[in-house]
Amino acid sequence: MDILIIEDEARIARRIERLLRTILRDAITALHHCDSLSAGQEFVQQHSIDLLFLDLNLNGQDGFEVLEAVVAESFHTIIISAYRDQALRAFEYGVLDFVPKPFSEERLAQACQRLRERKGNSSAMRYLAIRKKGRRVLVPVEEVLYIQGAGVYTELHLKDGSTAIHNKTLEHLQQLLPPHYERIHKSYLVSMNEAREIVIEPGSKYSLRLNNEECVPIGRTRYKDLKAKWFS
Amino acid sequence: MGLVNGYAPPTIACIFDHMKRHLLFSILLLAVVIMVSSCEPTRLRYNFDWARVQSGDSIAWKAPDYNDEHWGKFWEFEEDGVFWSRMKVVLPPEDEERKSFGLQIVATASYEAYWDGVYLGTNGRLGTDGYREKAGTYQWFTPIPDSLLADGEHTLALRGTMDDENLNFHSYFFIDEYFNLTRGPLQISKYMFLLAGAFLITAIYFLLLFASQPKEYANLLFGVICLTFLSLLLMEYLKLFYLYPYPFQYIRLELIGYLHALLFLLTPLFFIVHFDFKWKTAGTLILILVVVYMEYRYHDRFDWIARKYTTLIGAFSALIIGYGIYEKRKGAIWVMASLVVSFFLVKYLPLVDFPYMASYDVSVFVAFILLAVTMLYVMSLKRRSERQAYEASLVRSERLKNELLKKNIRPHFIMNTLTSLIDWVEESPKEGVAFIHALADEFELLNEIADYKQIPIGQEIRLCKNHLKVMGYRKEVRYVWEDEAVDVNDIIPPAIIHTAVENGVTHGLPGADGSIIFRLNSKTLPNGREYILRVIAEKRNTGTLVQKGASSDGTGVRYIKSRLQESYQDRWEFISRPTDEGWETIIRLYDLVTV
Repeated sequence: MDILIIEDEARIARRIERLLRTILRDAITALHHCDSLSAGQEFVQQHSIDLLFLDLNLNGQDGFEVLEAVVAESFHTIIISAYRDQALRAFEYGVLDFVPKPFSEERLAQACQRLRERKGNSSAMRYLAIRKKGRRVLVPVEEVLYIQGAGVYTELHLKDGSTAIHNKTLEHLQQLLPPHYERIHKSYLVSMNEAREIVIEPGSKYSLRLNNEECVPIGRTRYKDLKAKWFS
Repeated sequence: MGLVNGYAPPTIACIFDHMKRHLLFSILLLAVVIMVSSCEPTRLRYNFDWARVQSGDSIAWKAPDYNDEHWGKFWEFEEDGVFWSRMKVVLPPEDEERKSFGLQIVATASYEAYWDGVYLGTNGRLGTDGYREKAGTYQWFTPIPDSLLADGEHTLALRGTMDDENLNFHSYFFIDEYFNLTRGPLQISKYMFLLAGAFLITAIYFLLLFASQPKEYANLLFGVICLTFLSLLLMEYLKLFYLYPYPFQYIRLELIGYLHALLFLLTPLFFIVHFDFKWKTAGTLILILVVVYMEYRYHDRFDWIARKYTTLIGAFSALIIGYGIYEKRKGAIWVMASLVVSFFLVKYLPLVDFPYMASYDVSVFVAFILLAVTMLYVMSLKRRSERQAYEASLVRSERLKNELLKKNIRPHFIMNTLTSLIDWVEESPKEGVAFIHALADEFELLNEIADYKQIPIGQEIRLCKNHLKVMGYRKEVRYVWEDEAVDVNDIIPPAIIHTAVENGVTHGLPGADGSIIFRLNSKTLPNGREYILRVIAEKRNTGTLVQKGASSDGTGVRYIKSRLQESYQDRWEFISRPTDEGWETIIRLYDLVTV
């Protein structure tokens, strides 16, 4: 696992590094530290990482602009900040966890645990950051009808009929999105708020009809659970 | 007067309010009086323009049937000696018989009076037959025998002398019931005293106010204006109750002229000061020049010059108030409104007849009282906004103190410090304890200075050094503090250099040797002091994101500026700019008052 720490206080960065090495041990393949946002951004653009630890207030700069940029990337982000009151806002942007300073080893371990369990603070995410024509846009989560996995990235199908590409995998997004986003297929994540009925097609093929008449295939193995959970 | 910080405590404000009411009440009263008294029966009055005057002396000239057609209408002779003046009046037929009538004779001479040839009495002593003249009173009252009050024409003949060379001779008289004649003027004079009293109290109040706040020239001016107006009232209506010798008439008119001139100077000057007119000196100079010119040219034309001054007061005030409106000064529009009303008062009030008083004078006085009340009103407006500004400055000081105290409990500082501290304690407890001590010292220092608006710079330097120690533990950067030529007893607002140091710590990167140097220099300027804090460090490559934060003032810079403004009110300069070495912060303080 490639990890990047963006933190301007040398002592704190060293502490995060030390604790992570204790918690994750061999799971770490590489661990980098940047002491400014610009250096961090540059690093992210040039290297691929799996996990980012980000301090929101570096050298008096507002970290949310960077946060907006990094949540659109494929990796997960964990915030480490002195400003506890920013936690809610951070979760709305789709971060995996928010660790308030000062933090203990246990708290950091808990954050890492979330990563392993693939369970984020999933009801809090309100926006998805996507790139549209080179510009970063925040799309409200409720605008997303369903998401189609396409290998390392995903395709978002929005209510207005348009689609957008997101850099996170279906698994990562499932961790972040609210629980009514149900994985009904290996390649599909659907907002059950928009689902109308299950359509059974010949050859025991199942699909889910949405409110806008679109049909999304249901995985054979998932059909039973889905029916039990949402249509009983 | 127990004034705190130059602001009147509420009790005085109450008196102020009370006085405004007092004045308003007087005006109302005056208005009522004028209305009531104008309903009283008017006195018969003989117009003095028609008096015929003849130099010389003849016993025949007292006779009612003497033909004086060839006499002059004015005093046309130079030589001293006896002269005669004759005036006629026609008493209209009336239902009731006239009884207990008297004459009020107004004349600038000592004289014997004859009514229809009958001797009534002597006013003063004539300067004839080798006697020196003993001046008669300007006004003189005498009863008339009831037998001489039949309907029809009557003649008043005066045999007089006039030693005073300043005056031109004039004479006129009133005829009425003797009781009315003598009591009427006193009735009016009591209201004048009342009004004068109101102005006296107002004048005393504003002069005392000026004594306690010697910079408030508007208070002084208004106090003197009230005194001047009060003197004018007394001088003008002196004639209602004081029977002075006739030569004093000249002095009285002269004084009235000077008082008008003074009012003309002071009233526009008050507006110049109150509305903070841009060209104060030029304005004042023009006013003085006008007065000098008027006095030089028209000194002796008493009534005329008084009227001219009244017009000029209006014109010059209108100019200054117009400027006030243009500059959006508080209350200027109200003063202009009252000036317009005053204009119409002076124009139309003289059409109403007032007993014992010249209608024009009454209109001018009413107009001026109105103007004075509006002056009071705009002063109270100013007082209120000053009070608000003062309260705002108190709030600001409180806020700054708060900000200072919050410095060390802001999450960014305290949480990061605690996180580092945990690490130090876990890794090397001994260093950790030293860190805790440094932190405790910083808290203590900040706590010590929080209550003061200014502190010795020595204390500030200790604070800065200590802060660098704390930050050294956190950032693991070697911060070096140097100060040169700084007098530790200099007084500065608290935590301003500390704030600049904080900024340096935040934005500076250590140089090749892993250190950042903070160097404080002090320099004496011709009119103040200068402090330069240089941060010698690598500049952080801030990228596009930070530009935004750097161009506008951050919280730190705002704090420094507010503190400087609090203590030095615009007599300071703050510069913060990058240099080749790193960053420098310059603070210049001007016109320092040594305590």
